[in-house]
Amino acid sequence: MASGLPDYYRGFDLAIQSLSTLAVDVAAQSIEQLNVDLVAQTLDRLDIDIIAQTIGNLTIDIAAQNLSEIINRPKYGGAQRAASTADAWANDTRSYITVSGKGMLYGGSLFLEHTASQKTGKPILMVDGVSLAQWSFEDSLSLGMVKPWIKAMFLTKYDDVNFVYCVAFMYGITFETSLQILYEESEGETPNITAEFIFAVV
Amino acid sequence: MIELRCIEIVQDGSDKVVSAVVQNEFPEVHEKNELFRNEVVNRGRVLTALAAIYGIDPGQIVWPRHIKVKDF
Repeated sequence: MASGLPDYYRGFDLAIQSLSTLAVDVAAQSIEQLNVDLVAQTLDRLDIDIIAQTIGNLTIDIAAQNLSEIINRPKYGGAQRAASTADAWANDTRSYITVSGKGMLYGGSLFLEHTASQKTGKPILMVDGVSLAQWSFEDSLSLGMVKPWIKAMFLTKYDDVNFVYCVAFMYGITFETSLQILYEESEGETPNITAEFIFAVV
Repeated sequence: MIELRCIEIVQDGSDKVVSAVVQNEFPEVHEKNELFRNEVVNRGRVLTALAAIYGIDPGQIVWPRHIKVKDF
């Protein structure tokens, strides 16, 4: 208080770095005026009204490279997981997961282990009402669709001795309205199916 | 503000489970809520269930145009 001003109103001068005026009203959650001079980097005036969630006046001098780094990336919502376990319908098609929304598929899988062969069973991936992948486990193996990025769905396990089968879905598929996993059973059995989607919605 | 982000319909054994992901706060807080089981899914039921969970009027829930109810 030597200057006669309140402590919060006095200037700071740390050699070449100065914080000239800082008035902070904590009760109103606002910063009225903030002048920061960090050598060649200047943030002239910053009015932030946290209650109204607005930035009133923000002056940035890009020529002086006041922003050292800009990170630009697509914005998606938080990661979501949907999982299903249910018996298939013999000689019929059953839906396991449906997501209605817009977003991106991070991955997913359909797995089954049974007491009889399911090599002709078909996992089906529907995106926006369109079937992107619909091949039997047997066809996926014989056609070599066993690696990511070849097709939207790829085989990760084919064991026709112990009757264990699994497919996975490709990362990065965007959807505008819907995402769906189905399973078409064609061996007259009712194997238990476990399906999963990992995705984000905007 | 509650804004719908997606509707999930998942087969859990013999149950058809309907859930909704909503954005609850600005900018990004997503919450998933189970709405009901083994019922026909339509817009009215989804809005009514969400309104009950958050204690608001169904009209206060934002339903984006791209979200269509797809039942099975």
